[in-house]
Amino acid sequence: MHRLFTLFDRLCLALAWLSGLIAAFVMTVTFVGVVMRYLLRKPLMGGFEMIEIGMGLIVFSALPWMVRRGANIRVTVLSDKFPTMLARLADFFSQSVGAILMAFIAWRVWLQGERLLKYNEVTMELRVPKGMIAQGMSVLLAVTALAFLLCAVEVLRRAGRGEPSAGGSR
Amino acid sequence: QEVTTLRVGSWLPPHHLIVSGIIEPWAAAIEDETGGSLQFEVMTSALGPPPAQFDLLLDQSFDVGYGVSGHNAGRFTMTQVMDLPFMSPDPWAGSAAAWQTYEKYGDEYGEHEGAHVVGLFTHSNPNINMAEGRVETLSDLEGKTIRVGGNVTGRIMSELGASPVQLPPTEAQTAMSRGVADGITFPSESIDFFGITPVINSITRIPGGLYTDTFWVAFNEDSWNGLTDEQRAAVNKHSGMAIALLAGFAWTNGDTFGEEKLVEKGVEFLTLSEEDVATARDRLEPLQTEWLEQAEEKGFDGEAILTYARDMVEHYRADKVVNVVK
Amino acid sequence: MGLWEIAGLSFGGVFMLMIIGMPIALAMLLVGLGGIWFTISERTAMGMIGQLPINATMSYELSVLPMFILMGVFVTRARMSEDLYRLCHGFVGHLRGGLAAATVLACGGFSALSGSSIATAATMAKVAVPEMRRYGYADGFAAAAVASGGTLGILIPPSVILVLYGIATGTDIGALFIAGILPGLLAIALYLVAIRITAQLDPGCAPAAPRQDWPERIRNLRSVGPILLLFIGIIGGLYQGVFTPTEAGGVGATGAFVFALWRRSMSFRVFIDSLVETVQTTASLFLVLIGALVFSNFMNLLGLPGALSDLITELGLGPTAVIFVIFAIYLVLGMFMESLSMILLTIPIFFPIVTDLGFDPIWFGIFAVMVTELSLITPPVGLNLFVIKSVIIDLSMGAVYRGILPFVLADLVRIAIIIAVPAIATILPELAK
Ligand code: NA
Ligand code: NA
Repeated sequence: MHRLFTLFDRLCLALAWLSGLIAAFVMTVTFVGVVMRYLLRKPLMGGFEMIEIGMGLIVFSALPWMVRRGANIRVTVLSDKFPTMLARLADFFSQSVGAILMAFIAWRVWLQGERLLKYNEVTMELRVPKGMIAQGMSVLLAVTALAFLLCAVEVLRRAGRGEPSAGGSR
Repeated sequence: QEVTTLRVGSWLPPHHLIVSGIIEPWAAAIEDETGGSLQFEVMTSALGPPPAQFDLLLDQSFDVGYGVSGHNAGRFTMTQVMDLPFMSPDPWAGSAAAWQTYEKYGDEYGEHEGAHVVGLFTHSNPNINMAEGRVETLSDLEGKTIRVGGNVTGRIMSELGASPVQLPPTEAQTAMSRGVADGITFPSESIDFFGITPVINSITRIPGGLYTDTFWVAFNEDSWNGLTDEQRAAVNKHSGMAIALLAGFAWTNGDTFGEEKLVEKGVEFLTLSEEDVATARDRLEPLQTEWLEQAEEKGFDGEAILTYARDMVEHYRADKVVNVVK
Repeated sequence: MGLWEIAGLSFGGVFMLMIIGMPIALAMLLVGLGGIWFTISERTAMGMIGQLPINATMSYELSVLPMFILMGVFVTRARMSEDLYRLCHGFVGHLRGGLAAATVLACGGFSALSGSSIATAATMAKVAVPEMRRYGYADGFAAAAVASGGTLGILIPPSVILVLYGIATGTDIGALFIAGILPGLLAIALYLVAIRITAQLDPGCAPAAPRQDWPERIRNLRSVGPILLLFIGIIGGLYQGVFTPTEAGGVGATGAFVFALWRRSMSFRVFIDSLVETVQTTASLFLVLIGALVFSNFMNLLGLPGALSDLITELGLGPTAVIFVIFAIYLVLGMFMESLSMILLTIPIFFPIVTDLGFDPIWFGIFAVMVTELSLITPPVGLNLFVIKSVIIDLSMGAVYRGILPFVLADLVRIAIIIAVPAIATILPELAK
């Protein structure tokens, strides 16, 4: 069980690395685009679109890692003062809702991807099928759902061992 | 009397000519025609960006919607025959030809499954609007940075020798005033609408219409099927060619208004020479070839569709000289 | 159930879920999606959530967000921000709240070039908050200074919100920009006053250091060369039209990367860590954005814009009273909604009402931007607060909420002044005519 968690977290980190490399790519594309336009008076073909596609991929491939790190933005003014049992319950509820919502969204985004594929929608310049991008996002959302699920299981395990609730970052 | 109220999805400000000059008069005419049994409620703010409009319509987020075909690249390729260079010489001819061609061939395209298209229209002629320098001949475009709204216009500008920069319309004003771009392609109406008038110094008209966009107006299929026969008849009466007609007036008025502001500002108006227009046509020929190839891939007789569209343009041209004593 | 009951229940629901510690993004997603599902239709809810995450993230304009965050991370890793704050500390550290004041001024300077509040806050968060903490500033106070300084991004021209307002209402964008200058300066002045008073009342939150002598100040001056060069490069490039405000993010990040390399503080490890930190921040902010958009679409579909318009008309109030009602509406909406969707939802409704009553469209534009600004820093949903929180993970949201109070008060005072003396907004554009 523990090994499975570690393995999954490695996958999340690998995806975050990928996301980071795409961010570096977006940075480079922006910079090169400016240089080419200003100095060479030539546009970087497809630059606008590479940034758009890059943005989508940056967000979704970083989501699982963000969830596992407990980096979701939360307000803990009140929940910090909850008694342990209640805090655990609230935490378990939040993580489960996260898992269900992400799984649901993954499913709907996948279907939207199918629709886009069916009607041959592509990005304007690079002609990348938009449905493929969408289904890639869907897979990453499914991983995010798993990440939330693991967080929920961890709350239960901590409760079983009687450890104080960690509840991610504040 | 039972009243059906339909939600109209809108992503433009209420005072934009598409809303106030096309959608609203169209809706009002139908409301009148049905004696108020069919009512339209135009939304005041958007549920999603322009490219999302068609799918929002399919999911019945609203009952009636409008959008730009070119925003969903690859999806409405056949419908977009009017988007080819030099197809639409004026917004009446462009809109009428777009609709007539779609009436003849559109059902076979299958591009609007799940929606019931009631109208297509195009926008008025775009000009080349310069903040820096002036474009008297095509060679003046060489090395100029021109802001474009999408990659088709970007491609057109590249083929004509300019360096296109793709920027969202909200950034166009700042980009033009700071000199990120020397010029911008827009109809005069849009120059004024997006607040770019103060930075423009010269405008070059391109006879024949360098490019246009094909807009769609459609009902969600289920919302359409939910109407009574009388209601549908009322919609039909004021749609199709009636929408094309409204669009022609709306865009022409919009341009007149925008041009007044530009003239007031002292902008110089130029017109590209016939030879240069011919050169531009030649250089942009590849776009048409590519469209024909795509049509063939999809199993359509692109030549026939294109020829029919051109015939319709000739038939509905606003500058046709009639009633001349020989 | 009527519209107001549903809307009230939804706001209450989001608030309850947030209070029990549910991630804000999930709370808004759950209520927004559930709301559309039950009050509109399943089909619309399912379709909406299928395409909204794709459209919301694949955005060229929003690329400023990860890029400016990345720049901030590089700048910090290369210890450039440390140098900058050592210098600032030398000059103003002996004044109570001096560093916070310097931070607000820096935000103001950056705002004169960037049109986005989030970009301003994201840039300054990583640079300023850890440094102020280093000099003993209270977490909440330091974060609040950056969050409120960041709001200047949309008041001081250029401004994305003013451009959108101009397009949405047909108001002259150039005139709106000019109109934003005086209120922007007023905002800076009032923030400085707020800092001064807070530091006076609670000396613990902004400790004063012994005055530094000139030789040491001069010595510190030398080390800030790189970061000053970076900022001057960005400012000059924007001013000269070399790049757009959106591109400035990517250019700035590249510049920071090069400086970090040059200072030998960039290894492969540092590079990867910076990237992972950046995308983690980006992911948490975009999840909130998706939640906020779903929630705002729910309010739109529910018919909130029309209902607000009816409400104001039915009250039958005089001009000034209407402005105060609108202000109150914005205060409430601003607590729960993301700023941009709030403006897009309400401006088409309020604008005709307000101009019919004889208010100047330019004045109302400035007013609208100010209430939007306020919504960025009012609890519980304040995007600028979230930006800081997402960049500085170990920050307590409670401390941020407490720290922001003086700044919210400063904003309220400013809005009151603008209502009482509209000329502050309208005099410059009139002179420019
Ligand atoms: Na600004
Ligand atoms: Na708020």
